[in-house]
Order: sequence, then structure tokens, then C-alpha cells
Amino acid sequence: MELQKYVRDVYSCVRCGTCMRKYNLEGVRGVCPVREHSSGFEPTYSRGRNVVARGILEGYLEYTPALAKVLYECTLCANCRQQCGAKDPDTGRPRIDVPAITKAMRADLFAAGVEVPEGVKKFGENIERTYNILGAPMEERAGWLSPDIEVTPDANVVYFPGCLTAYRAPEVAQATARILNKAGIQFSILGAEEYCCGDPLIMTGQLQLARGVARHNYELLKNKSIITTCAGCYRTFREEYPKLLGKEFRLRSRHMVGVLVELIGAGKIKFNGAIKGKVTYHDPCELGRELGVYDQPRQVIRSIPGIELVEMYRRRENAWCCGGGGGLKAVNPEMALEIAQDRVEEALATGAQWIVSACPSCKTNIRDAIQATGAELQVMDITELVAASLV
Amino acid sequence: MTTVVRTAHHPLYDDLVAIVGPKFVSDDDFVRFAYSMDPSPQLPRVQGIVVRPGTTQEVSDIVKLANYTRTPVVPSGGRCSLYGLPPGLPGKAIVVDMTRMRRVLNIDEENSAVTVEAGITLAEMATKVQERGWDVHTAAQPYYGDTVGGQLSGVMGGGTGAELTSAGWNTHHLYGLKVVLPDGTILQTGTGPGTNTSQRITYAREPGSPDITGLFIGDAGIFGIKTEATYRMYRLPKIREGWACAFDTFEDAWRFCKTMALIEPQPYAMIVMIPPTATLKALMGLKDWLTMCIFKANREDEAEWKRAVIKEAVKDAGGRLSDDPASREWVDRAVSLKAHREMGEFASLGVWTYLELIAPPSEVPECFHFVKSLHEGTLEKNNIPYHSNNGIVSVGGNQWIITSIIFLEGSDARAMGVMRELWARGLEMGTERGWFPDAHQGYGTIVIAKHWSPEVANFMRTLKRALDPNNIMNPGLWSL
Repeated sequence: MELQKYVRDVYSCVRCGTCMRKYNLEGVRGVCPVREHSSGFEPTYSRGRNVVARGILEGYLEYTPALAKVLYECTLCANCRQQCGAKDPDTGRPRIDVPAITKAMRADLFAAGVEVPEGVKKFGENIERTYNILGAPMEERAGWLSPDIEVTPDANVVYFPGCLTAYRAPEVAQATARILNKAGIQFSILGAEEYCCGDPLIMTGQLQLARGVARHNYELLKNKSIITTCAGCYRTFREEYPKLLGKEFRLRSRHMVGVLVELIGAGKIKFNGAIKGKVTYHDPCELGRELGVYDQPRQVIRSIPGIELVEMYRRRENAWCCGGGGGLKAVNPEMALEIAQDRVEEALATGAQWIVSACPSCKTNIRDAIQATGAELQVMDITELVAASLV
Repeated sequence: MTTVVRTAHHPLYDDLVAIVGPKFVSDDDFVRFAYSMDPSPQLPRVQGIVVRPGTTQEVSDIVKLANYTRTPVVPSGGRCSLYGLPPGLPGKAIVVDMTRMRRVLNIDEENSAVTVEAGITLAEMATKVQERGWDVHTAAQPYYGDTVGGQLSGVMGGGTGAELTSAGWNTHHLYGLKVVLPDGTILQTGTGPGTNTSQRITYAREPGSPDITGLFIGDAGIFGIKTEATYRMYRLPKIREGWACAFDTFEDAWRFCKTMALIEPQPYAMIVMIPPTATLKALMGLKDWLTMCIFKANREDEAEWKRAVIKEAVKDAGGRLSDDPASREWVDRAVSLKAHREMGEFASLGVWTYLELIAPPSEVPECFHFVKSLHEGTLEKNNIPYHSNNGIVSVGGNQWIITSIIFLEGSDARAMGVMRELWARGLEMGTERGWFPDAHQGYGTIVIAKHWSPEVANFMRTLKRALDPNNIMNPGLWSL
């Protein structure tokens, strides 16, 4: 049972309720976006989930389809873990890793053959069939390539856009490629050979399938240097492959924001000041809370002349999730949209014209919320902002 | 292993759905189980169904339904009780989760009063009034979890805030309540439209009747469900400052605390004393017997006078003001309320058991040594590794809370069994010696009731029968 790996985490929860709602002198805010947008019963958020996990471990509870539905209604945003603050006294790492507990329970659900929500099954079916979460034709994976983009087939650097960027946000891939071209960095792509990184499968507990795509990608990329624009792919290469396949299966990968900082620092890209206005930055959970990347994107935005970075109330470690993570969008798209609308409102309150992020999942979900509300706000990926400002 | 699996809906499922809507009713096994534990080491108590009402009227309708069908009701607030959940009636009782009712209904700055729904946490209420330059006495800890209704019902005197030495129990800052009685009647207490229907504002407690509000303070929720509360607001002070005072022995530190508590006018907001346990040494670098004095002031000369009083008392007791970085940080965290808010360090230590007893000044040393030796002695005898934290803090200057918290690593069933037994034994032995657990919750009420005089027990039974003839409201608490 995967959950057994997290016994220490589960029993460390003293059920104090800090993960319910937390405040500071700047105002009152909820901790869990799902609790705030659902029935709010205890199992909808961290404390109750830990009690349920304990119930499973001690044999009081069994996995059921109804429990599965609740366990899949989680964005895995890790804000509960962040606000809890409990740390291992020896390592300083979070003591109660609720996203990991939730993922473990999802894996156990799958292993037990319990009926899971349709959207989750679809992830797996699509990836088995087409190796991308959307079920889109494999041969269209490189459809984002435009004639002006130069790809060097044997280059050691591989740009890995990931499923969402390739099929749903091709403009991000194009912007990235143009920046790399401009900076003189030769890169290749895997095209139709690129499989889903496995992140959606790991998040939804489909570990066997995840191992398959991970092995495939690893074999193609093991001697390469990867650049990705997807926070999920980046975290998966760094954190999940070694867990899934073994410690030695760590790929050399970088998120594009790190590359941008270097290129700007080295003077390899320069800006024309074409875009002027206020920008607010949305921290993707998988890049921020999971990997601690907060300063680099802000450094990039601040270095663009004419752009003023204005911060949202909930930012960096305390950022509110966009609602698109953890598979929630596939299981409960209405809730995912409501959570994104919170973020749109918060961005509007800053007076920003653009909300910028560094994750295609955040971009697409925030874009949906902007469309649904008719908000006077535009969303773009950080690569688009940079590409549009290049000399 | 017994599971809690149920195959059919609770008999009142449809009726409850008719009251609050389907979204806010659940009898799913895992939902009921998630409401079966509090932070105490008590074993799970799984009730029959959980409902989350949104209005006082909905609460009233639920209670009327419960009465009609003779179904026990277990009100639930922030679920931070430390002495076990109410017995209810496993598999049958209705858990009424009040946390949906968390609106601030009115901030009346002219009359220094704030009215809130009882499912709001005290921290959220405090934050909302602080935004306007006001303050209320809130929950010391868990700062983010305790609800208004839970504190007022489940803690002696309605609980305490961070300034408990000068402010006393929170009941002193409460003007009135709205309560759904066990028959579904909605009662407003205090000066508002309850006791004088011509008065619209709740601004004081006793006028117009005996202290009806007081009946519901620390009642463990057996006389009704609180749905609204009106508290007094205070202006935020300009200066809030703290001092750490170090002593070599318990006796010196205690002499200092006693002296401080007797000074009038009070130069402090809070006095707390902690011993140098191995845990605090490891975690925070604290090494002396420490006391902390926090005070408030609005003028610098007022603050200077308070500093001088503290310095003199420390000197007289043979202590010294401590300026080492660890104790300074300890004080700074308390002054900024960070210590109350951020429980991470202690939560990091794992499963805990908590014993808090109230004792008069003359019995504080005895109570302190009893609690400490009982906890640590039992765990050492059983070869169970643990962390501990103890404290002595004054409430209102004339009562003292003696606290012992034990933290346990991991999920070892034998150790947890010992902890559970120790927790119950500490409660029982402490109460036998004449001290009171300050939490009027679950098992705690049953232990206290064992020591009631026949007259008090009879009086309580009479009250309970009069208000709740079908005994549906938290049955079993106080052994009623």
C-alpha cells in the first residue's frame, strides 16, 4: 500500500485546524481552495483527509467510489502543507506532506480497482492510446512549429513543451523557440516521439502507466539537456522520475525561467520596451511551493523595460492555486474554474493588465476564467512576454 | 478490525436535505469518520450523519427534527477539543458542523461591540476587527482553529486569549448570545432584543435578568447550540512589549510570578512561566527557568513605569532580565502573536496529549510537579521516547493554568495506548486532588461530574431535564 510510506506524516497531524483558514494582519484567507469551493466537510481539506488516511491505515475505512471522488477533488497545490508549517526537526522538510498522502491514496484506489471519476480514467486511456493527456493525434505534437522557427535535429539541448503546451498553448512553445533562436541556443525536439512526462498519471495514482512513459522519455533524454516551459514536466523530471524509476533516473532539466535569467544576465537577449504596463505574476504551485522557484520569474519580469511588476496579495509561498492542478479540472471543471476566478479577481485588484505565469496549466485555466467572467485582463506565459519584448 | 461501512442512508437523511440542501448533508462513511477524532488521543467515535447548516433557522429546524425523532445532536465547532469528543450515539447521532456559519454580522464601533456567527474562528473575528483598529480577546491556541461557539461551550469561562493574565476568561468580554435551545427555540441573551424587546443593541450582559448568558458558558453544549455571539471590542494599544526573565530554580521563578500577579494596577497583560525541558532546549535553545511578561501601553511613560515594575520584581525574586537570543526570540514571537499562530514547531513533534489543570496560587507548585512527574515518569517507566513542554500561566491574576503537553513520534500502537491511558489518568488524578481541567469537553466533563456534590449534580440534572426533556443535546456529557 502506497499510503504506508506516509504513516509518519499521517500520524504527525495533531488536527489543530491551521489548514482550515489562516490569517495575517493583511486579511483573512482560506487555505484550501477546494474547501472554499465545495461542501466544506472535513474530508475536503487536509485535516480531514489525514483522519481519513488514518481510518484507512487502521482498518476503519475502505476505499469506495464516493471517497475516490473526494480524493480526486484536490489541486495538490500544497498550500495546506505550506500553511501547516510543521517541519521535520532533523531535515527541515515539511513534516505532513498532504499532497503526497493524497497521491498515495489515489494510487491505492487504482491498485484496489475502485471506480474512479471518468476524467481520471480518461487521462490514462488517452495516454495509453496517444501518449498525451488530451488524446490528440501523436503526429500533431509538433504542430506548434512555425516556418520561422529553426530546430537543430542533433542538438544536445532538447526543448520539451509537454502535452498542454504542444496542443493547447502552442503560442508558448513558439515564444520559447523564438527566444532560443534569438539567443543562439541550438535545440532539438522529440516531436511525435515525445510522450507525456507522466505527471498527470502520477498525480492521479496511475503509477504503472506513469512508469511506462517515464522509461520511454528517459531513454530518449538521458544524455540530453532538457529545457521545458511546463512547471509540471519540470518537477516530474526532477522529483518524480527518481522516485518512480530509481535514484539514478534523474534527467538534466531546466525550466525556461532559469534559462531566461541566464540569457538576460549574459546580455544574449535584449528588450525593445514595446510592451508597457502593469504585470502581475502568478506562482505555479509546482514551480513555487514544490521547487522554491519564486525569484527567477520576477527577476525576468523586472528586467523588461516598460513593465511594472505588481504583486497579488497571495504570492510566492502563499500563492492561491489557479485551480487547474492535481487533475481537478478533469474531475470537477466547474470548481477548477471558480478557483481560477478567485485568482482573476485578485489580479484585477492589483490594477495589472496582464497576469503572467510559467505553466501552461495555469495559463489555460486562468484564460478560461477570464473568458467566463469577461474580466479586462490578459493572461500570458512569461516566455510570451519576453518574446514580445525582444529586440 | 471494525469498519464503519454503512449500506443505507441515515433515517433522517432526506429530512436534513430538506432543511439545508443536499450539498450540506452527508452520511458517507469517510465523512462521518473524519468527524470522529479531535486532537486528543481518544479512540474514534463515529456518529450517524453530518450536517452543515447556514443559518440559525436551519439549526433550529435540525434541532426540532432531532427532538421529534429523539435523535441525539452533537454540535461541532473548530474540532480542536483536547479532552475527547462527546459520546453522542455512535451510528445515529447528528453532527452539526457549525463552521459554515462564520459571518461577521455587525461591527458597532460606537458601542464597541462585534456580533458574529458562532462558527467563525476567534482569529478570523479578531482579524476582521483589527482591520478597523479594534481588537477582541481571542483564542490563545490553536489560534486558527477555535471557533467562537466551541470556545464558549467547551472551555471553562469561554476560554482565554493571549492576554489572559489581565483580561481573564473570555466570558468577561462577552455581551450576549443567540442560542438554539434543545426544543428548537431561538433565544437571544444579553441586553439586546431578548431581555428587553425594545432594545435593539446588545451592549452589556446582566441588565434585565440574571446572567442567562452565563448558563451557556462552558456548558459543553448541553443546553443549546450557540449560533451568534456579541463581544466587546477594545482599541488596539500603541505599545505591546515583552520581557523574558530568567531564574535558576522553579521556586524563584514562581515567587516572581506570584508577586507580579498581586500588583495593582496590573503592569502586565500576560505572565507565563516555562521550565527548561529537553525539548525546549533542543527546539528553541531555552535553558533557564523562564517567565515572560507582556504588557500593553499607549504612552511611553506608561510603558516605562511597567518596565520598572517588572525589573524590580525580577530583582527581588533573585532573577535577571534575559537578553540571550533564544529567549528574546521566544518573547518576540509571543508579542507578535506569532507563537500563537505558527504551531509548526510543536506540531512537528508528532502525536500529542495535553493536560491542563486550574489551581489556586497556593497549590501551583504541587500541581505543577504532580503533572510533570506523572507524565514524564509514566513514559520513562514504559521506555517510550517523548518530547514535553510544560507551562504555568495566570488567568486574571488569581487562577493559574498548569499545562503539560507530551509529544510522541510515529504511530506505535503500544505507545499510543499508554498515552491514552496516561491522558485519562492525569485528568482523573488531577480532579481528585481538587484541580479542574479547564476544557469542558467529552471525557473531561465526565471526570469532573464524578466530583460534583450531590446538590450540584441534582441542580444540573434539574436544569437539563427542564431544558432538554428528551436529552437530545449532547447526551452523556457531564454524565447527564
